[in-house]
Amino acid sequence: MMHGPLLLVVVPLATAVICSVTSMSAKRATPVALLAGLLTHAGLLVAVAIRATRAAGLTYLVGGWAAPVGIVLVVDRFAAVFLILLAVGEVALTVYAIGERTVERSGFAVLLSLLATALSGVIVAGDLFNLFVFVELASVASIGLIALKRRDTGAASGFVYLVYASVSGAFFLIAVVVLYASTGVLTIAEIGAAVDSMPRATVVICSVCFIVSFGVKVGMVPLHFWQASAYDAAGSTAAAFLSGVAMKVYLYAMVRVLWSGLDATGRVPAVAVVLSVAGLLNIVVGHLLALGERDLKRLLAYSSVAHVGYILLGLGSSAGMVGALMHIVMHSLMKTGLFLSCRPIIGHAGSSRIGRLGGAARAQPVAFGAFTIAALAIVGIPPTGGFASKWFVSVAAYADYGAVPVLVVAAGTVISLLYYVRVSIAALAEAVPQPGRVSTTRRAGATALVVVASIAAATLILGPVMTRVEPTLRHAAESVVDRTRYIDLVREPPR
Amino acid sequence: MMQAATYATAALVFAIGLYGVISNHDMIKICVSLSVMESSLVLVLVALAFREGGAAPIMDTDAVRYVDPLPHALSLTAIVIGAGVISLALGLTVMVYRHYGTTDIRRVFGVRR
Amino acid sequence: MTTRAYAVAIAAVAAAGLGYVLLSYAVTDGALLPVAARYVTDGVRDTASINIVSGVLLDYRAFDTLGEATVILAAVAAVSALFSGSTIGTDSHGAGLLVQRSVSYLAGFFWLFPVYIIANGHLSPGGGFQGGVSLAVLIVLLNVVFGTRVGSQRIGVKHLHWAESLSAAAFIAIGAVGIVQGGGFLANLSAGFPAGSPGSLISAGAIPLLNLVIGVKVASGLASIFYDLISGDRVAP
Repeated sequence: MMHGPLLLVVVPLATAVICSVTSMSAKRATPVALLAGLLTHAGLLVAVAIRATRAAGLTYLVGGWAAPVGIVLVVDRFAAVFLILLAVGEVALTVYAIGERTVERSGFAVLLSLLATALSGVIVAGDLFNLFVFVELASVASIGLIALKRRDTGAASGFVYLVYASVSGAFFLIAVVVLYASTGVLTIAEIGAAVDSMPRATVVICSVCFIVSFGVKVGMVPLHFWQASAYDAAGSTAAAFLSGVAMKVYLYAMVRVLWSGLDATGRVPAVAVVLSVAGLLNIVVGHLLALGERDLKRLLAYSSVAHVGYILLGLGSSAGMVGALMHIVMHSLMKTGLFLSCRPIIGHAGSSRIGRLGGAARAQPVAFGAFTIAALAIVGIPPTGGFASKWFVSVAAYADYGAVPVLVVAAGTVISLLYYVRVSIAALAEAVPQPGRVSTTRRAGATALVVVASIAAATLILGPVMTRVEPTLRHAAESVVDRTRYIDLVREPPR
Repeated sequence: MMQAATYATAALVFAIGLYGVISNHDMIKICVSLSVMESSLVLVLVALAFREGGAAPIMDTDAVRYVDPLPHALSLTAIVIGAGVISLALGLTVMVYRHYGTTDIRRVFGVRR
Repeated sequence: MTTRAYAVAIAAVAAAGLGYVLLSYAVTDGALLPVAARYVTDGVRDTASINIVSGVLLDYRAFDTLGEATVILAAVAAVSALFSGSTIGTDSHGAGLLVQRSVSYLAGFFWLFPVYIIANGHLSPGGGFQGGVSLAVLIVLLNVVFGTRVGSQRIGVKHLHWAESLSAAAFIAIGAVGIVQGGGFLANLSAGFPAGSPGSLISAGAIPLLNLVIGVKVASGLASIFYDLISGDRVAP
């Protein structure tokens, strides 16, 4: 376990190499290799997360070079939460993809393990440039996954995302260069220690660069245009991972650089306001776009845009980190559940058009049941965990900005209730025989339904249990809000 | 002076690249613009490393001053990552051209609607 | 036209912002900041490589290099997945006789350049990436001059994929030596790799090995992307 944080990156990378060898020589071994590799990785993720939570943090010096000279990997309590999210999403997706035979698509196994490598790397990175490398790796691997399913629309959507991601990467690199010019180091914790003597203008410019850079990746409103077509082209399986896990990891990276590195909200209070306003904009625009959408997968993508808004609103409020973290956890589960359960429904209907879903509820009762539960949770109906997280975000926003954000959150809830009810009504309707319909009649495998049902169960259970989870999340939030803890962890690693 | 001029040039090149990315509709031209944008950042890194009278950081000379080796290493990494991204972009462009018969991204999405 | 106006506005703002920030750091006569100074003063002792940039890339910050090599791996995986089912057209005949003859005489010298660049990566400017790219260009040249039939038979996609996977595995294995020997993943001298005498060909511990591995990896990766891009229409939908 001494090498824990490092193995989180190396194990999925080795899995990718093994999968690329088996896909050339022994195609049937690929699912086995992928499952073995990623289950090992998930086990390591959980083990490292638990250890880091107990010990208040772990560090690893790559090549044995101490922090500002070499590259350091850091797992604090805040990062541990995201390691758990990654583990859950990864296991659910791998099992689902093997059950549904998505894994047999050429390149899927390699790209999925490379994405797992990249996301673990982003979470454990303690060095700004290393973070940049892994973020770029994550975009290349996600573009591959987006383009894989349907090569025509997939390639076009992948290209659009690639252009956005490259601009995002350029802004990230600008911030890295400016910070190196001003401090002479790249370690996030060392930048955090030097930030107090940095001119305020530098902090402002770097914060803007980071917000634009990660704003593209998470779909902050004027920069969200790539998302709907990308998730649509990616297919439900890959979209579940991109929206449920990858986006959360980008949010983590944004918080890490803005809070631990730049002390952005402390030095420049306007940053918090910008994040909150962007959040409100995301809630309004995302829900309205979803309301007007006639395609189920694109609707779910716009709903993601809206829910990033809740998270950003939480981040922008002074006491909102816990709420934001809670919503990150809940949305990760709910969105994974929605995307994975909509695949059998869409498969039955032969189209992702909402108007054509008739009969799907009767033909796929388990998937439809799971979809409904996840939808209820994401709308925020009280017993589910979705209510608790929205509540925490709203309370924190009310304390800072008064009633306006709370009203926006309430309005968003009503709108999202409307469009999810619309989907349910469409799916519950009798099947309308359509002459031109391409009915695949492919039944969802039992494995897939088990995955979908257990995610739905988890969303239900997390509501009442939230009070138990809350202290853990509060500790996690404290470890990033109190920046000295992160800096001390890297400078004086616990023995 | 030298460094300031390079920075100003880099900012201009960045602007040209960004303008190209936003205003072009042809996928190949967008790829070229992305390349231009990335080159500007390499230019910044090289200028950042520059020290008046500094030698290249290869220790077989008896120079007194050396330029900063770290930005050179970073620029190499950035170039390779850029190469990977651009090759993927060109692959996607070929694929799009094969299916739609055009590299105009507006027409590609127009066909779908 | 409005797109163009927006583009001008955004680009102008970005340029002004970038220029402003960078110019405020334009100090050319300043001494190196501590970390950079450490690389320059202790680099040869720490890494046994007289090329400090190589020392930073493949020793101090070797983890970044593993990441960027993985980016190439991901790009190759994505492109070859996109083009899976396509076949390389073998109907190109290449250049004329004169070109073919002269290139076949010169080919030996062409090979020499990337080999030199890779082998001397720790002594002079160059290294695995630069040499690997030249090697990939050589494979492209082979296909252009002698036609894809000859080119893809001599060095096929399958070989390239194997070479890439194996070199990625070798990179991880070299890193793992550090775990076994102590010193941590991707450790160089502290993992017991021989330092040699700095400045000679056999020196700098694992750095020449990593350069070799990266050279093979980059060459095979970029060449296989080339093969994918020139491959014909899909045989079956």
